[in-house]
Amino acid sequence: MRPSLWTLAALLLVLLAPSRALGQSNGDSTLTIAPDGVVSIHVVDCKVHVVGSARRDVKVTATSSDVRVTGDGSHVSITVRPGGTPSMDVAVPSGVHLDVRGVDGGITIHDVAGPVQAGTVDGNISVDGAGRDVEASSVSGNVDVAIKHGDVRASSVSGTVSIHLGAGGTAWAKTVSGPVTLGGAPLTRAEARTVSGTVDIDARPEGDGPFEVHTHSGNVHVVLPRTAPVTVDARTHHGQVDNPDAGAPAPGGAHTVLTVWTFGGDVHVERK
Amino acid sequence: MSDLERGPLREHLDRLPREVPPARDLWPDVARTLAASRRRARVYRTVALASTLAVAAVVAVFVGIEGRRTPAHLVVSPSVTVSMPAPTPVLAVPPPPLPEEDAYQGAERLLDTDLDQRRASLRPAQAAVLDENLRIVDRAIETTRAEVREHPDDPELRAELDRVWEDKLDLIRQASELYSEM
Repeated sequence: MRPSLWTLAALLLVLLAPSRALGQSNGDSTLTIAPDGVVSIHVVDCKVHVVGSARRDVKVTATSSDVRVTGDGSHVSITVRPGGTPSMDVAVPSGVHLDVRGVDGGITIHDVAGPVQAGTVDGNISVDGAGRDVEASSVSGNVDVAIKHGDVRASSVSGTVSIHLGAGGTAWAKTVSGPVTLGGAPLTRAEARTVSGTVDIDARPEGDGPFEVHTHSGNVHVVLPRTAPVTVDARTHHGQVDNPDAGAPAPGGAHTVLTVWTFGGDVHVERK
Repeated sequence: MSDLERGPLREHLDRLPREVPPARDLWPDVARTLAASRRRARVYRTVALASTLAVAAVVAVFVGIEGRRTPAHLVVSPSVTVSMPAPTPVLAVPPPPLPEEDAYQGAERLLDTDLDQRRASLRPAQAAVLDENLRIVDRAIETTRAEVREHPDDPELRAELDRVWEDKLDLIRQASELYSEM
């Protein structure tokens, strides 16, 4: 019998060894990853908070042990199944490519400078700090991206979409019924589309764009810097345009054109 | 009545007890009746207040709409003329699709197959959000289609019809993709 026990023990070691080599574990985990590696997170019923920093590994801190973490040095995968853990903190190197997908749980991402992709069914998405290339979408959750500079594509079906680029960049936003807010200076490209949602822009467009806003029935509110050389080309089929003089080109000639078209919404333009 | 008859009757009356206790305790019924009466009064007050507020709201909305309909024929930039405001059409019967919508409808059928497979896993609230937004897009398609039929040479309306169809296909595609995570 003794040889059989040794055989069984050896078999268990062989079975468990690859998991450890891949870094698989439950609960709090730390795995090394390349600075430009890929971190994938798939969660259900779990709030995820991801923070980028100068570290060289991925550290997962969860309130429950039912979290599956695997990795091979260039790709770390984190999975939480329904009832796994209600919340999870993930610390990553700031340059990683981050892909987070969630159902029933909010996602917050702070200071991840590599490409960020995030999607939820119900939960809100918030991205801030050092982000550069952000793509985020939700069905009924709100999407809020506030970074210094970058290229942002954000969409929601019924939630709000808010993009603010403090030091400029490009912004693309789309909703069906949710409101859209765009801000930043200078925006070198800005596009917003809603069906019934409102669009608010408080920004300084600069360059050739394109700069376009289209809604079906949502109202559009545009606020421009007083001296910005921007012309607003506003048209509405069934609505009306308020304060159109504010959309006229500033002295010195207009270089940039912001096009606003709405089927049934109203357009209001102002300078500040 | 004679004096003879009045005498015995008087005596009978005098023998009757001054107070007769009821066969059962009546106070619980009295209390219930009073409480019901108070509840009815509260309901009447609430209905009256709600009616007053509703009338006030309708008047306020009407006044607000009329106040906003200031005549406007506005020039935004030298080459742009803004159309006069007009009421958004209310469609009693949705107009039939235009021939150029065939391709969109074909794509919708394909995408719907995928979405229908995901529907079973949706919670009622999630399905309600999806259906409400599909209704919003469908109404947008119908109103734009009606305008295109009236103004077939308006390129902006045709572009809007393309956009609302793309909105619908994007909605189905995005929902299917995100629901696939469930």
